Amino acid sequence: MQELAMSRGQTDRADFDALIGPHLDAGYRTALAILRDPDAAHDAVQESAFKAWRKLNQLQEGKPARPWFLAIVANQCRSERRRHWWSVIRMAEVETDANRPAESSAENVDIDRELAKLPREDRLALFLYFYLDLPMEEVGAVLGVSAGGAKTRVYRAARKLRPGLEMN
Amino acid sequence: MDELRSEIRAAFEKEQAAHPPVAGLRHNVVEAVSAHRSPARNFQWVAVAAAVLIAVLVVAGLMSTRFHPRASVPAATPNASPLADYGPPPAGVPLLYVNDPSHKSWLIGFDWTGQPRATVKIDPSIGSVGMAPDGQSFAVGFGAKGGTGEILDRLGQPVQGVGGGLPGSSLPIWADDYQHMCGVSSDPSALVSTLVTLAPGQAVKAVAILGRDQSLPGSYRIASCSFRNDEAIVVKTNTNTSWPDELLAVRISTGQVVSDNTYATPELLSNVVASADSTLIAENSSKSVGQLQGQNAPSTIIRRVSDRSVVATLDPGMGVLAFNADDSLVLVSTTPWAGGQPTAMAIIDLRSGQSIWNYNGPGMFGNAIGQPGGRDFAIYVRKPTVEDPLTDLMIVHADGTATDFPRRYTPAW
Repeated sequence: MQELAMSRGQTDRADFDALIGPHLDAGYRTALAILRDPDAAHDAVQESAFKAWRKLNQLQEGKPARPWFLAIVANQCRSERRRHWWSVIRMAEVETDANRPAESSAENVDIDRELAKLPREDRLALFLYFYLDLPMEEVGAVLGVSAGGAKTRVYRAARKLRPGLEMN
Repeated sequence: MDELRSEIRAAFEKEQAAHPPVAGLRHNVVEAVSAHRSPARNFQWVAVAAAVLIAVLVVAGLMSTRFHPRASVPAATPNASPLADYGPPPAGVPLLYVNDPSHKSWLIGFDWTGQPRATVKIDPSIGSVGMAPDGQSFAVGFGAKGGTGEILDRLGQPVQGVGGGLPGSSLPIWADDYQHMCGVSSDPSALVSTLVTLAPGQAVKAVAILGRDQSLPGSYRIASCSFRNDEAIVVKTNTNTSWPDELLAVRISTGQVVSDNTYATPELLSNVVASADSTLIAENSSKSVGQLQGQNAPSTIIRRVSDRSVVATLDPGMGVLAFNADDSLVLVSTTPWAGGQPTAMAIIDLRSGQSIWNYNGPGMFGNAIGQPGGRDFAIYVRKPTVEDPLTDLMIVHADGTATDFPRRYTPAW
């Protein structure tokens, strides 16, 4: 879809839908990867959409909307205070057959476990690059760093999963 | 690297597959955002959507109640004139009363769907009026010097006065049967504070002596008055610091002090809030009111009064403001207070631990009432830093949707 640049003026529904609508799914998935809580992720993408609506005229002409919006999502997740007290009040979720992840091989269980233990920012870097398949420039835009900086972050995060990994 | 890429991707795919986005995410979010036309008023978007009377959308398959399905939001009736005489209140219908801005002595009663249903005309010489939580009677004159207090019926007509009044300046609170009131009678010469109950046509009844303090009298506050459960919760606060020193549970029928808990480190708490049925208390961390000096309790804790067992533990930055009528929901402040009052709030479902509604200002919390026989909250907020009796009122329903009152009012509660 051709990216439409917002000109200065009143944001309208059609423009917002055209620019940001296609990225809401990715926004939710990004929030889920960071927060690891579907309710929190839905909240975060909703709040992010409101912020994007208010700031849509700040999206520079010609700049892609996807990393711009995902950066808002990532910032929203970072400031998500509610998750802090949710973790205090919520009862531990009991695993049932319905929500138990599919059986994994021993190796995959290791990667799952190690991935789960990574800090949020490392998970985010890996998620953006390996799952959403964003180019490094866009990964950097979401993380707030240069493309080179993003590459370094992805590599460092990957090395935490595979210590012997060589950067190429 | 390719192998690692595949493994990482597979791991993320597993996580994502367990919690896919709700159906219609794009459509619902775009509709919600595009309906948000008043960015200056930071109410949660459902209230804004209702205010602009957009078409009701059926939102199906939403996983999170915090998307507030707008189909269930009753929009404020555009044609309801707030300045009309709505006639006498229907018997047995819980109402929320506000002062009519056009008639000094009139009260307008709104039902819990936000519709104006009644106009009650009060003798203007009576002074300020406080309605019972069900709106079926009114308390007037309490707290005035001399404290002889009077109760009016739902039509605004005096019932027989409350005999004897209340020595001291304590304001009584309504009991959960909406018929009686509980108060504290203080004898400053003897430094004796007594729990009393009041009802129209009856003499003030002394229930129990709360304390005899010959040195620094504490300040006793009735946190809850439950005639249904025959128990009142009384909090003694230090008059110098306002920290809660002691919590007493008193059997109303006999005056027996059922439990008496002294807080060893009261400075860790800001206050204690009780549910209307006297079964739950919330011990709010002093961090919730922005106390930066000294220590704060590590959590805000909701306990059962009977055995002090923990029902819920909240972040210390959160403070419970009110319980709803069936104790399933709590209204909380979510950030330390600014300017002496909370500006950010949420409603938490204690059964799930989830937030069903939130408010991010700019108004400051005024007061909240739980819906009699229901689960909703009525809440009003005031403008910060401005002396303005008018407030923004809203009814927050148990499904997380909200109904705004059609205009700003001075509430009679």
